[in-house]
Amino acid sequence: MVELADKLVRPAAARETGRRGAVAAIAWRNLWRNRRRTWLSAGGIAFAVWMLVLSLSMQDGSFEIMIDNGSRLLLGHIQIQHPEYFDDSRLEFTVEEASPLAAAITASRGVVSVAPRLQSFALVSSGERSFGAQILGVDPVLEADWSTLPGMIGEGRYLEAPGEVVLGSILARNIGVAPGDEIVLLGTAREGGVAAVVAELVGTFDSGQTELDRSIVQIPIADFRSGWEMADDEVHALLVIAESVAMSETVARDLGSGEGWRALSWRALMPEAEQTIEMKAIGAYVFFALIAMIVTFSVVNTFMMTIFERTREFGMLMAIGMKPAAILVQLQLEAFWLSVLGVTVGLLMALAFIAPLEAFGMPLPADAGDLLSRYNMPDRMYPAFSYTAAWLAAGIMLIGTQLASLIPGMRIFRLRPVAALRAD
Amino acid sequence: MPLKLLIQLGWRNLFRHKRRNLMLLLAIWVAVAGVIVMNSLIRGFQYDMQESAVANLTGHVKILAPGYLDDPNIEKSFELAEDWQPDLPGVTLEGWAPRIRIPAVIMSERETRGIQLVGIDPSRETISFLDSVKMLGESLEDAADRRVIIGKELARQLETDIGRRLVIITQGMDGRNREAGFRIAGTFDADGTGLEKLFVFTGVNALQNMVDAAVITEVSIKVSQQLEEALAQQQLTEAFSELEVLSWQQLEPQAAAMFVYADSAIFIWFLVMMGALIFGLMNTLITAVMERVKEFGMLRAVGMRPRSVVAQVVLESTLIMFVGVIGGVLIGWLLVLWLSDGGIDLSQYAEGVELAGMRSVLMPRLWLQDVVLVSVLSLVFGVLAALYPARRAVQINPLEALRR
Repeated sequence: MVELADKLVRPAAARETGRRGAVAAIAWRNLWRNRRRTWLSAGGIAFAVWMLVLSLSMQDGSFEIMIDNGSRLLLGHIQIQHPEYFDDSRLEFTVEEASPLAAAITASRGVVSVAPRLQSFALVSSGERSFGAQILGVDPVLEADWSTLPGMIGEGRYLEAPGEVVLGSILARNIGVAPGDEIVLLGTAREGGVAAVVAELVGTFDSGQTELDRSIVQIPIADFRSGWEMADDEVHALLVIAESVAMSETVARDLGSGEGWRALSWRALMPEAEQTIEMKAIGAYVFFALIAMIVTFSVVNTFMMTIFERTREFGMLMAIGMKPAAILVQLQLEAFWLSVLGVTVGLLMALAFIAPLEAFGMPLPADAGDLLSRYNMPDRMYPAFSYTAAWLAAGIMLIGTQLASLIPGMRIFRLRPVAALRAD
Repeated sequence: MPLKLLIQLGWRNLFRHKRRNLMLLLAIWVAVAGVIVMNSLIRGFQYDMQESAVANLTGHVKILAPGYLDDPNIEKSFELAEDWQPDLPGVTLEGWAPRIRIPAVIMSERETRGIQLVGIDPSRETISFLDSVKMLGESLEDAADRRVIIGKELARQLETDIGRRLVIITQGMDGRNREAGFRIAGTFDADGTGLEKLFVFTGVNALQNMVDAAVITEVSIKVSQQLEEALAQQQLTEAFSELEVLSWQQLEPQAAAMFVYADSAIFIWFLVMMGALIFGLMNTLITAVMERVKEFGMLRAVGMRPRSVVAQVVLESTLIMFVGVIGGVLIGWLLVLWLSDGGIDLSQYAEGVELAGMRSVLMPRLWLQDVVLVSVLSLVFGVLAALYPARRAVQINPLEALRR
């Protein structure tokens, strides 16, 4: 202790050389004067960090999957549309000269594929039965490439040639048709005439989403074009698939808009997904704020006990000339080491939990099937270690611990060396 | 040692370190109040989800013709006597509504959409969402009203408005398509756009005329006591042996699954909060034991039994937890009251809210049994946290402790 005091009260010139390192080392050693207490405090910090990183990693992972699966079913990560089409889906709001635009977008960074889409509402009938449905004109070859829908064919097969049609399984049941039957699509063409397409049903799909299975019909885009009297190279949308969901935002921003078109990202295309994510994120922050508060109060408590027990020591340090501010700095350094310890343990624990899940996936409860399909979730989840969460947790706990030691630490300024030396 | 003395000792010990125990209390208050508030929000969410599942033309129990769910059309219907009344002894009914609900195509001058055409008796729809939506224009007058009410979003998509005409095509009883013109009486504005795009309402008798049959496709029944749901279903199943009688859980399995998950979410929240708390609690208790080594040594030397030492540490932990729980519940309750004043406005997340089956204003709901459960479990946690410090206290050797 004398040695320590000596170090701290040496003249300024000598102090400059070794002081900082020495104080830090002393602070670290001080932590281990009460091992149990240090481990319990660090344990609280570690628990908070672990919880936050774990829950945010799971959530981020599930959001990413939810958006990706939703996008890959029908919508794409990004759509290039006529500027007014999204708010008012009129048949005539099209993107013209789509092929050169599609080629240019395909060549840009981060883009995996681009597919054209024409769409309208029509009556779907067979015999006496008629139902209303959304008719999508698609490129069968490209569609099989990027969309998951062609893989969800329950009966029959996906589109291959002109004159064919596939539709949702519920719609097929409602109309009372099976693969091989003939179907008539009746709508209003571009110039106001009747759009009529007769096609052979070749397959039905089962996406698991009632809404889609009851209302979606796909035909080759060429059939749509001739039936609805659309011009040769016009489309309602170009569907862009990016390398990843995260990448798609950059791509959408880079694309921006152009002559007669604009790019819409999944955030605009799936507002319900975006809003669900925001709501859950708010919930997660409230959750973490509460845990951080509980842990910080516990650490305040720890430092209060520490300072109380070391009143005599502080009194002696002050008696031999150490400034209260220097003592406080040392305490803050102890708090710093404590949070470093806790954060490290917490992050390692989180990593230990997430790494195997990242590799092998986490099976989700089987009876959640219906619920998962509503949110476009698969039955297995692959969480990814969230670096944002790790930084956030480390930062908050670091600041929280500094505050926690500062609050009781201010007491040092009120200590009178003589009285403190006599304290028991 | 008599328990009364132990409690007295424990209580006084709490005040030996006022500031330290106050910090601990703050932590417990945050944890308990946080659990209480979160609990009430999850319950509110659960309640809303169930209510909207029931209000979306489902009811607690619904009577349907066999096969209607797989293939909803007018042929899967049944006749209901003009003077039929639900006869359910032991069940308090909130209401019941007969309907025809069939898929149809609706056309304005400009656009065409597929919808669910619902024939209703407007006076009976107090049990569905129609009762609480904002209406523009007029509602339907009676079961014979030949006009329609449509959703605001559908009106926008069809580029039509109140007072204009629409053509609706649907299948008649004979399997042939019927086409009829309807005038729009009014539009309804629901929380999200899902319901607005899906449902078009007209008078049930008007729709019966259109399809040429005096039949209905469903009867929804809403009970006032949730507990009587199963009883109602059972009695109706007996009364309508040739029809299907299904509960809302069977009709809306996604909402039912979500309901169950919300229950487990409540427990996870509790465990995490208490987990964060237990570190601080143990730390304080251990310090309280270690700084009283001498005191415990003396107590042991004058004949205090190890059992009483354990009892005293556990008691101190329980006492502080007790004070913490009372304060936490009180703070939580005040916060819930404060949040209940107007609820939490989620309207900016309307589409996400609708996807989750919630409403645009989330009302927290605090249940007495949840408060009791949280309190009791917190006390159990207090006892658990005290076990290790208590063991340390018992290990104190009276002779060594006194010599210090």
